[in-house]
Amino acid sequence: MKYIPKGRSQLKIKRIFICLSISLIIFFVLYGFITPDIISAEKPLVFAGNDRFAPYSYLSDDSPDGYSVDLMKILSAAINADIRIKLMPWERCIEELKTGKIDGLLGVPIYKEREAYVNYSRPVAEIDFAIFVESGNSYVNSIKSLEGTVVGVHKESLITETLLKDKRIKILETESVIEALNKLKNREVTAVIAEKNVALYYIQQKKIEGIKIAGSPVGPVYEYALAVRKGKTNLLKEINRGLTILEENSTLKKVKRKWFGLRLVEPFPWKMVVFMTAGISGVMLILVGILWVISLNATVKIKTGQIQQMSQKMIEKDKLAVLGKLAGQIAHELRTPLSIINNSVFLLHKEGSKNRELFEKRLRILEDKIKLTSNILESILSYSRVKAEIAATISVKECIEEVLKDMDIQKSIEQNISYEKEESLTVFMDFHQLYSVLRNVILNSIQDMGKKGRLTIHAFLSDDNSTVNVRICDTGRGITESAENEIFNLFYTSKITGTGLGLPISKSIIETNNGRIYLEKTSKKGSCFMVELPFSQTK
Amino acid sequence: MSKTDKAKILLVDDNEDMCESLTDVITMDSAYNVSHTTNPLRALEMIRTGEFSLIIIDYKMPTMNGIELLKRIKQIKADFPVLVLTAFISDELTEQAEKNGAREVLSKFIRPDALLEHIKNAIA
Repeated sequence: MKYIPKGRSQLKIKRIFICLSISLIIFFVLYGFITPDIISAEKPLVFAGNDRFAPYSYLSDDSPDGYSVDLMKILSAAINADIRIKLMPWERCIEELKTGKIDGLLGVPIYKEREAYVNYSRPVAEIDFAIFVESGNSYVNSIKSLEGTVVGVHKESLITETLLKDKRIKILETESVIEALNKLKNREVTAVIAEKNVALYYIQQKKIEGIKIAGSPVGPVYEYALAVRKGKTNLLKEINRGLTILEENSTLKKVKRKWFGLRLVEPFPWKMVVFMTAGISGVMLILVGILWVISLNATVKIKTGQIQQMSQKMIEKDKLAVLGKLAGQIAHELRTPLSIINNSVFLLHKEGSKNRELFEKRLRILEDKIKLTSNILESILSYSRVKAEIAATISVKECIEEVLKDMDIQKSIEQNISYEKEESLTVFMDFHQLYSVLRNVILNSIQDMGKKGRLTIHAFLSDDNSTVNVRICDTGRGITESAENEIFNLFYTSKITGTGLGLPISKSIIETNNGRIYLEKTSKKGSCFMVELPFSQTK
Repeated sequence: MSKTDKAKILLVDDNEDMCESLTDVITMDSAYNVSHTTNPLRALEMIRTGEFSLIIIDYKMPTMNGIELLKRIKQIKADFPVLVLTAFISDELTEQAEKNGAREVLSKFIRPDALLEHIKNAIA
């Protein structure tokens, strides 16, 4: 349809015009909201930086590069501002900032004196100084240790002031950090003190080898920040807002890692470790105090759990050892009435029955105490009844391995386990009983050795093939001569926590199975126990 | 000490029956006068006020163990002869007790006449 009535056509144009106007208004309003006023300025903002301050800012094939450059690029995107970056000699940066040719600096150490003409942003890095020396140098570890030597420092370094305080250090100023590092390589200077990240960057970049950092960081630590011309507070606010965003989404961290992630192998920082240890110890002490209170309840719970676990173990396989502990208490109870019985019998002997009243009293005591003894014994026996013995032809090797596996002997105890004709090492007895005996003897050995030693177990068939023998040796303190004849007696123990039950019960188990258990040899260097059991052929 | 004076012995054992039994054994020899207590703290009080020639203490007591009691006795009078009786004699315990000034450590199972012999030696 080619013909359009005039009225309708005018109406359409009007509509388009209105739509366009509204769109434009909305656009400008929105634009105004999105981009704050300071940045809506027509001409782009200019930030300048030092062109020779790698890795912070430097020229790489004539284009700006470095930590500050990267950061500024990301920052300008984050705050939606058009920012141009210009790198030039540092003196010119300052001059142009003062004269208003540029709006800010990419990066600058926060330095009180400069506050006359700049406002700093929040810090984006730290500038600290380190002593660089040849790898073989082990006597330099602080500024003090550099007295009487020549130290390379690059021109206008912030460390110079600190170094000048020590009049005995001779300073050699160089044009750049690289020049200083080269002088170090050429042995013109003993050390170079430079901003750590800068020097590390060049060492990596120029592949300079044989240089290390000595001691801990030295001199003052400066914060490194962006700066705007004094009074540009709105711009500063925007920059700080952007930096907060970059910090919160970890972009700042990533940029830092990209530029400062490189590190030399540093000597072990003893000083720092000492301070840190002291600091950490202090904090730990306080924490321990707090935790101690909190953990009391938990401890009770854990202990309850442990006791339950213990009884569980007892039921399963460790009856002998647990029996020992429980019975120790009961046995003490047993000793008192027995010793009273002992005394009463003695008195009866001496006094006879002439004094009827006294005689009756002694008998009554005897009766009472014998009954008590019998009750106590009964309770011990209920613990000691090892699960109905199921005798079978069993492998001694398997039993030893099971014991060792369950004991979880600490690594500082060397284990030397050997078997001779292992397929013939079979005996006819209850596996659990043999397990108990072996465990008890091995446990004694380990306890005697303490933290360190060697446990040697050798299982072999006797020469005439009649018995299977297990020799268990330790490198402990050995058994004293007076104790040698006692160890298999009930209730004898050399340990204050011992019960004197383990070996006697082991002995009774082995003898019930027609075997022998004895102390083969002992000296101050250790002991050997031997268990002999009749060989039983596998069917 | 003259022969007419009876030597005073103090027995400390948490078991009253044990105290009585030992008293009967020791007083068989008419040379001794035996007092006893089941409370170690009371014992210390008695030692401060009474004149004892010998103190016989049990090792295992619920309120204070023998070594601790021994130490406190020695604080009152360093040269008091003390015999320690124990149900479980061990090298470690003997060493500890002797280090703290015990005259001897004896098993509760010692034959009564042997005990009398040890008492006689300790007082002499």
